[in-house]
Amino acid sequence: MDFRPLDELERKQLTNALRGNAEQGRVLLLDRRDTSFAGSADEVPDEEVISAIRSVPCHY
Amino acid sequence: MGLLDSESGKRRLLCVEVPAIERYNEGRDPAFRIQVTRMGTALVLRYVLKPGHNRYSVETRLPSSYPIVPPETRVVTPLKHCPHLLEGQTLCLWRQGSTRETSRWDAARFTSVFAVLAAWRWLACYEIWHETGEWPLPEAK
Repeated sequence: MDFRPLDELERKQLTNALRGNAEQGRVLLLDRRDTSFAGSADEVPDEEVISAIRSVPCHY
Repeated sequence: MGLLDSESGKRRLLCVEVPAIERYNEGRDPAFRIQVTRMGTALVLRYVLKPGHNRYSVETRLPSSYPIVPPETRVVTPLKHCPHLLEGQTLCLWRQGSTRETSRWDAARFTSVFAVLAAWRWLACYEIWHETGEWPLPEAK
């Protein structure tokens, strides 16, 4: 696979969102069509509840 | 409880797993929908995730003893060796002996779609690790 990296801003946004999810329970939002990262939020919009990541268990 | 050969397993599939997968697939581009196939006594969910700019083909296997035994997820797309990656590109996602509740798979609360979302989060971490060499989330005890 030809890996296409995130640019610096994208990487910062994704890192902050992942840490906010792990440490404060903030929600990770995924694009409905193609699962790309779509930001983070305090609450899950009703229509995105199946795509958003909040309480997914994981050991890290 | 056998997922495919017991009444309780079939009920779990029909009432919990299939509706969750159908809901996940709603409004999604066909290439990113979950496809379910039977492999012996197990079910395999095949899907594509794209947390950044790259697409990853992923498989989540629900063994016959699912949901008591957690699902197992592997990435089919070749990856660089990295933290939390086991043999066969299987993702290290749950730690059943952990004293921390969020480290364990809970059969009463989670569906196979949770495993899909956990794989997405793992791949998002991988995209960051690939560039920085640092896994962005600390490991739980």
